[in-house]
Amino acid sequence: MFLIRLTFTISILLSLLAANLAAQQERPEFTNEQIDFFENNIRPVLVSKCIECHGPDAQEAELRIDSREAILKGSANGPIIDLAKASESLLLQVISHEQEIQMPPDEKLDAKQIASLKIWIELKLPWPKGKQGEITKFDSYDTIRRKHWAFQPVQSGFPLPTVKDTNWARSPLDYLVLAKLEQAGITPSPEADRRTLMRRLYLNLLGIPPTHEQVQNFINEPAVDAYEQLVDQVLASPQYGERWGRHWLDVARYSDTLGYNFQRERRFPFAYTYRDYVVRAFNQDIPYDDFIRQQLAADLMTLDDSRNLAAMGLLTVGRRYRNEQLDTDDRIDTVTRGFMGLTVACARCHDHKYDAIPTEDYYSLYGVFASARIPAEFPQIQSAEETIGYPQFARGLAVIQKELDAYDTKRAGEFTTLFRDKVLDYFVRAVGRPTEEQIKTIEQLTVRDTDIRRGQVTAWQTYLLQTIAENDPFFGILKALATVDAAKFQSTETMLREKVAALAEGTESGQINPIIKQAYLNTPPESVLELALMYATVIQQVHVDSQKEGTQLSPAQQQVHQHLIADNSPTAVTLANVTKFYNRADNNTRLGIVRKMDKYKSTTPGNPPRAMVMEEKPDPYNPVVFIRGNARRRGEAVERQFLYAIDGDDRQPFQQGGGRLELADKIAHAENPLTRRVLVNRIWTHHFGASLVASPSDFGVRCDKPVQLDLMDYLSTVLLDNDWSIKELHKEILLSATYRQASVDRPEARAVDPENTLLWRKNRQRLEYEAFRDSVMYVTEELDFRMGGLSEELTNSATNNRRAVYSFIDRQDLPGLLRVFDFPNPDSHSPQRPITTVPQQALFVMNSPVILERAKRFVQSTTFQQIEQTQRLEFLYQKFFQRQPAEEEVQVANQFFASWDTSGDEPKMDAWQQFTHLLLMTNEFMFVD
Amino acid sequence: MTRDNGIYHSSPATLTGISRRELLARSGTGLGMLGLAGLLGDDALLGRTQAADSNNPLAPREPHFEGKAKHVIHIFCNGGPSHVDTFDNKPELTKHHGKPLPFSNLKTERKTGHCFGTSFSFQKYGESGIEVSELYAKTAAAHIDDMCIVRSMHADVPNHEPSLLLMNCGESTLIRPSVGSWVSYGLGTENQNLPSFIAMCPGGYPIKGAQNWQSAFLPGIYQGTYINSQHRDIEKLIANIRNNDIPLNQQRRQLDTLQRLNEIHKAERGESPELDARIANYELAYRMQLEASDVFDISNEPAHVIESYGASSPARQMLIARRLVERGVRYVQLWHGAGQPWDNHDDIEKNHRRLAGQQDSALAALMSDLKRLGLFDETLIVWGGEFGRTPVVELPTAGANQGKINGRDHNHWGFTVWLAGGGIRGGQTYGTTDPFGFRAEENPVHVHDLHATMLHLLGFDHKQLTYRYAGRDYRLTDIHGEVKHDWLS
Repeated sequence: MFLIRLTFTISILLSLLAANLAAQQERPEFTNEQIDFFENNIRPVLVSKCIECHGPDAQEAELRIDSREAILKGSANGPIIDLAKASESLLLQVISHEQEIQMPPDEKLDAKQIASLKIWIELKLPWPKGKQGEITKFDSYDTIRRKHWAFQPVQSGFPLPTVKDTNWARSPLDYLVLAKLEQAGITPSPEADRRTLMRRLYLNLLGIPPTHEQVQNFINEPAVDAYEQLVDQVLASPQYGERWGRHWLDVARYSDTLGYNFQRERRFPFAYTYRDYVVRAFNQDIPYDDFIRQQLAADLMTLDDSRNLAAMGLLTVGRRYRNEQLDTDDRIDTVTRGFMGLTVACARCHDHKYDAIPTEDYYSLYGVFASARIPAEFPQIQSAEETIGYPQFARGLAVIQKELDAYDTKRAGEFTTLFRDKVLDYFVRAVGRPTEEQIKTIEQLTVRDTDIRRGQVTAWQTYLLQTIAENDPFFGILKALATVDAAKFQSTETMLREKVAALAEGTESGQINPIIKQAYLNTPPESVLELALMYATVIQQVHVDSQKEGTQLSPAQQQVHQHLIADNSPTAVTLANVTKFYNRADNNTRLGIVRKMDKYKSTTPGNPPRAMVMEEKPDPYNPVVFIRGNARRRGEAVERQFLYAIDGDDRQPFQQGGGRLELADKIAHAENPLTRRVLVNRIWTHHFGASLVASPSDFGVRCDKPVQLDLMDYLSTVLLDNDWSIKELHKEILLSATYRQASVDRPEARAVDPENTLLWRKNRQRLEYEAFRDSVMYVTEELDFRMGGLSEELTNSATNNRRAVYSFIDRQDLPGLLRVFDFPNPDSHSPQRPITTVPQQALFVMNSPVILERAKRFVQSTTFQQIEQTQRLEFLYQKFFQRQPAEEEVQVANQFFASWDTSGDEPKMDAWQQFTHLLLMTNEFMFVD
Repeated sequence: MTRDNGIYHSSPATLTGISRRELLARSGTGLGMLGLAGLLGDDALLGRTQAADSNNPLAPREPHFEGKAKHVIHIFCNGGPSHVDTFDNKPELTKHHGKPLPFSNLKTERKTGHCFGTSFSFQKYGESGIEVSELYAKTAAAHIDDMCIVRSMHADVPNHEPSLLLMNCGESTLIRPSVGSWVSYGLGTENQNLPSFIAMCPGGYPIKGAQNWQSAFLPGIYQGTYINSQHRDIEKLIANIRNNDIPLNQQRRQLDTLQRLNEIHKAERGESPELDARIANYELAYRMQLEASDVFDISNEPAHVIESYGASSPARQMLIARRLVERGVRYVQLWHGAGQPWDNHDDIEKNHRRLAGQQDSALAALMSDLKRLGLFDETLIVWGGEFGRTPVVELPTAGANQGKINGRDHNHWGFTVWLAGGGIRGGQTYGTTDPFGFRAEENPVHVHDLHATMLHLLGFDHKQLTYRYAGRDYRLTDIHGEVKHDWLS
């Protein structure tokens, strides 16, 4: 992106060369002119074309070009510069692309760049002294910061352009638009009629049309500020938050599921609390800077409403990759593209290819997000008492909890019995550690290796090691021999035998248990395995004896028996430790119940809502660059700090904890050149159906300066002047003459500006899926206005008529219907929805029970049935389009009814139902003028 | 042919100095009415309409010159099939198996190691004697002399997402129309009752989803219609394909009334492509109901035909593709399966055997069928992935592979694509990779060249098939692409 112009003339060239006469030694003194030549013509080439492979990060062919010394040192192929004979320099041959080695490999430098390099060599490589002279990637970043439009401060207070038609303009916005129109020789379109305006406002802001009565009232309203009043009224409607909240949920890649998980419940039980927060934030007009802060760091803020904690769902409703690095990447991407229109995530594996985002900056942000974690349990944001339906919910939950406990209890009992009955098998394995071959030879073993619960083997080992004293009357022999090397076993055992023989029999400390003494002296073991078998046999015998009816165990037997039946026995399995002994099958059974519980919690009303927050880790994460994005290749350490692209050299490392709140402050800062513009562009897009900046989430260098930058900056200033109020921003736009224009085509204007870039009319907009569906429900009097709460399956439901914003969104299996209606992929932040026209959309409207049922039921309803036959057509037009049918339309309708064939079977939908249905299918219903 | 947002400059109307749009405006009619008129006639129900004179964006149109191919079936081995295991035998590689390459490994997505010779045996087939691996024995035995094996393909990067977009849309990052969309835009389609461009993938979407068949800035009507070919029940193949309340004749009447109301609505609003598109969309949807039910129902095919293709979803959709082409569908893309089935970083022998096994019989049967029906010469078949795979083994990386050291990494430096049918000179190989199969060496062919040649076969100069958008004439090959005349018959 460097415009390198060889602007030097012959005379400058001569003066450059003349100065060179003084520069014969190794490090000549260069003149200012020569240094300027370097800065203007050479540095940009080195930075943009060479340094990536021949700089600090990589030294292909052992060549570096980031200092004069390094260049003179040359490459693996020898010197690349010949100061004596400049034209013979290897560098010049290589960049000529005429030799075998061709640099840069992908694209030859242009002629001017090659010429400059040649002159530069002839000048003996002029290069500034000291640190200034270092070539770094920040050179090019600095150029971008200084030159790219989006990084320049938002302009405010600039004089309004003069326009000829001063009557038309209602606000500064209109002046900016009109000036460009007049320049192009186009006049703006006339104001739309009141019905059109009101439909436009309702559908754009609320996602449902007004009623006929409301339209009539507005048309007949004499007040001069009738329109302004209407705008206020519409913005105050709770349906506004549902409509505009959904726009934000696209940005936030909202979904009700975590993505792929084979065994666990995939639903997030509390994702809806984020959705409800967003809807409420729009309705309450939470200032946009706070909206940003709360979504990033509500946990670190003082909140006047604890429900605002749910704002942090922005960070947690993304896909869970079961990989912290990828989860963090998704957060960085959503936050940076969503708020600032910067594609920071591109810098995960390498410096950004185009923008001023070094990979270090990616890891600076990585450090911020990796310093936070998802808590073991999310904080409750509403008490159980306040939660409607809690008692029923709790009862249902208790039933599943009981089922889970019952399973664990049953298994604990079974394990206890099993581990005692099969104590010989477990003890031998725990102490004797027999090989597979040895196991085959021990005939006392009855449990197959594959059926062994490893947890019980370990439990015996831990017990003997940690609980049993060296001089234990029963286990003393084992403690003395179990860890002896095979080579020394014999000798150690012989010495021990004498000691044991001398010990007094008894069950007190310092004595020896007579049962084990006898067993030992009868057949002294020759290996640890035999030792294990000896003990195991004794223990098992006591266990067997204890089970015989009417047996009274001797004190010696009782001492052995205690190791099996005491509370701390390895064989004592309780609810607390039972899962340690579960194999895959047990776990699957248990997970089945856990999944049932999780599903219950995620789908049953009455579960007290919780906020999907993150919290600071006890110690902040100190980031390092992961080379090429690979967490195992740790590069240099970086600070947790903001982006160079915005803060430049002035930036300071974040100070408080992980720095999340400081990051939020940086994004929500009045001087951040991107944040307000990005928001203004998003809002504009929804109002006009076209963007000021065509890539709403990429304001980087590949994004050209928008034609309407002044307009964007003006609105950004309006936002700031009104304390970041989004509703005030809406008003500024909605009250403008620009917004109020008619959408009718004007060929003469179209000839000049076919894309309507200059805004000579209001674009006609097609309703998104949600607004279309909700409108169908609304005009047929079936829309269910209940707000908030758990998401529900709505897309294919012909009976659940809540607003579409409450649809259950499964990112792992997004309903096909949503896909065909351009609903964005919820796996990553969506800059804007595409607008496609595919037959599946039409098939839905033509054939889906979701739509058909509405027509059927509406015609059956008392509302409709009580209308006189002759009034029905008019009634439908008023209901659906807030107007009377035109004569031509009446004729078409009459022909439809006249041609109705009454012979044959009674159709499932009668004439009025079919006609009602087709009105819902019309373009008039689907488009906003 | 150049169009400016729907104006057909080189149409007959332009020759008389009147644009088609003006012509329609003068005759007081528009897209919807024409769609209606055409549909109400019996022609529509017969399938192939010749509504060359209508303003229907999908009406059949003449290309720049007579193209040999009229349809395309693109068999997409998503994930990237290994060329050294299929169509590019490398004895040197086998000889060096387990040893380092004599040159340093080219950079691909992951870490790679020593030479990894193929596990499959190769054999010469046909009069041309082209070597093909056992994986495609049936296809090669029956058709090698009609196939042109391009062994010197190369792309830009070793990553799925950009390479998929490059192979499908000619551009790896920016939003550009797919090849199928360009072809539909250029040629229209012969059967107005079915979408012009169908993308089938059993079980879900490939990586990048619908972006692979996007129409981008071309009108939405040119976007590929996705079909989940895993299903057999028509109502599951295409949602809402049937109306269970309104019989077809009544629905037709309903739509006629609807479109008349839409015309009245439009008349007050002037030029409005977005209104036109939705009007046309109902007609397409209506026709789809009729014909889609039939075309996707392969149970009408004789048992021996079904058997010859095989039972797997990738095989069954090849049979459906043949039925679609028979009925005039312009562009059919067949994805092997959801995600990226051919992406065998592990167990390449086992997996490639399974995947190719699902294709070999079906490919052979498809080409035989097309020959039998006389459609082979007008149907261009393209087989390939978004790139190939490395001749060297992939080294273990936790999380990226299973660490088995028996798979291959992505390879955009060199790979194979083959073409057959309409306009292709078979029985030849074109270009080579180096002796180890890493990099395209002799006659390298970039993806842009493949696209340029495909368009040529369909009768287009790829530099002239353009669309004016936001002040610029866009084309599939951007500023690249070279027609490979050596491939042509």
